[in-house]
Amino acid sequence: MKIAISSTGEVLDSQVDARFGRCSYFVIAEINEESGEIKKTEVVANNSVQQSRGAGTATSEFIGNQKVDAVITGNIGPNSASVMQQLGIDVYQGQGEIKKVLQQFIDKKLVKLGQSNVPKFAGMEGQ
Amino acid sequence: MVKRIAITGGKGGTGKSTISTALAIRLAENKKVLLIDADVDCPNDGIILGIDLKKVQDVENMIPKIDEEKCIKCGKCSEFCKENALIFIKGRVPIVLPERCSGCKVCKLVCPVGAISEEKQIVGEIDKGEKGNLVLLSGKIKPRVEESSLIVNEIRKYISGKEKDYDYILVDTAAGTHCSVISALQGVDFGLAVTEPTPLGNHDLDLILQLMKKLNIKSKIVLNRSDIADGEIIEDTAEKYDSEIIVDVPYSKEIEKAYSQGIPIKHEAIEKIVRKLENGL
Repeated sequence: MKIAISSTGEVLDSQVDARFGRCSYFVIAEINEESGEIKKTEVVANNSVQQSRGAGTATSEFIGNQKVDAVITGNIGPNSASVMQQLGIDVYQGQGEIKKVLQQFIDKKLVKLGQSNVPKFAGMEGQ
Repeated sequence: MVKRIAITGGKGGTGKSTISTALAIRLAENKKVLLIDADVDCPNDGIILGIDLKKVQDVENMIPKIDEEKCIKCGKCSEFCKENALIFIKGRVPIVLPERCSGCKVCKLVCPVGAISEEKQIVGEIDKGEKGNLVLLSGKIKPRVEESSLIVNEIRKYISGKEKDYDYILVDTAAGTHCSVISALQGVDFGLAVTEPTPLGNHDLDLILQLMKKLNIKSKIVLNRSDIADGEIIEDTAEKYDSEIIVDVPYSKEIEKAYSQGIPIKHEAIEKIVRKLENGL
């Protein structure tokens, strides 16, 4: 299965970015569900971060087109959560180093976010 | 001839509604006045004036409805949507996010197979109330709807043709310089920018004066709480945009008291504005 993790940097030692729509990068990891082996990882820049409005929805579209099965992030807003739900992409909450969080996911230790856990525009704070 | 005046200012909390309602009440003593509360996210003028408001109209917005059978999943609608209200994932019918939609209908226009029809959603309402010579129209947006200008534009449509029934039309705008404020400023003869002599007030005044200049609207300034700091920065900003301070309203306990009770203020500054209006500002 394919997982997208919002990331502050371009390496697996980077931290999970708490923001979904306005994270700088996504780490896309392919894992073998049965063996728990990480088959492949790649890093993609999130260009939607530049948008003054609608970064979350643009990011949702980008992630949707990456054909991932799940997303790991800190917080997700209502519009993005709605898109993820309609696409059948599960959203999990994670924090800390990407590679550790990925292992937590493989070990099924992450909590699934049923719906948006922050209001709209929350990712704009501090910008 | 009806005089149309916007009461605006950029910064929030400077006294736009306080000045608007006081001015409306005072002018309505001997003139016919229409006050429009265009701060549709938080319309408060009805509370200050003690006017009971009744809904006169729903405000509807068109949102796209996609015929899943007809849709060829080309993504054109999403590509042209400036609001990111249509999410296109390759191989799927686009997802509509109604709260983001501004109702511009460009999606319907660009769809090559005519798969998009219009579906109506209620985004807000127009409320009306009266007190003597004063009519209050108040816009109210539904929570979570983002496009407040939809409501303001609908109020403008609602009064079109009826302007001549009034001597004065006052438009109390929202704070800021965004779309709904721009809509509220359309067609006014001039704008009164209510501000205060603080760095924040001055910064936001600069933005609203800049906006009015771009829209070719004459601006005048009401300097509220004028004695809490040196007003020189405001004078400089006024000069920059060929505007001027027409009245100072010093900080007053009476005004604060009236404000805290939610009633219109009475103040010599209001008389001064009225005199200026009567003499053709």
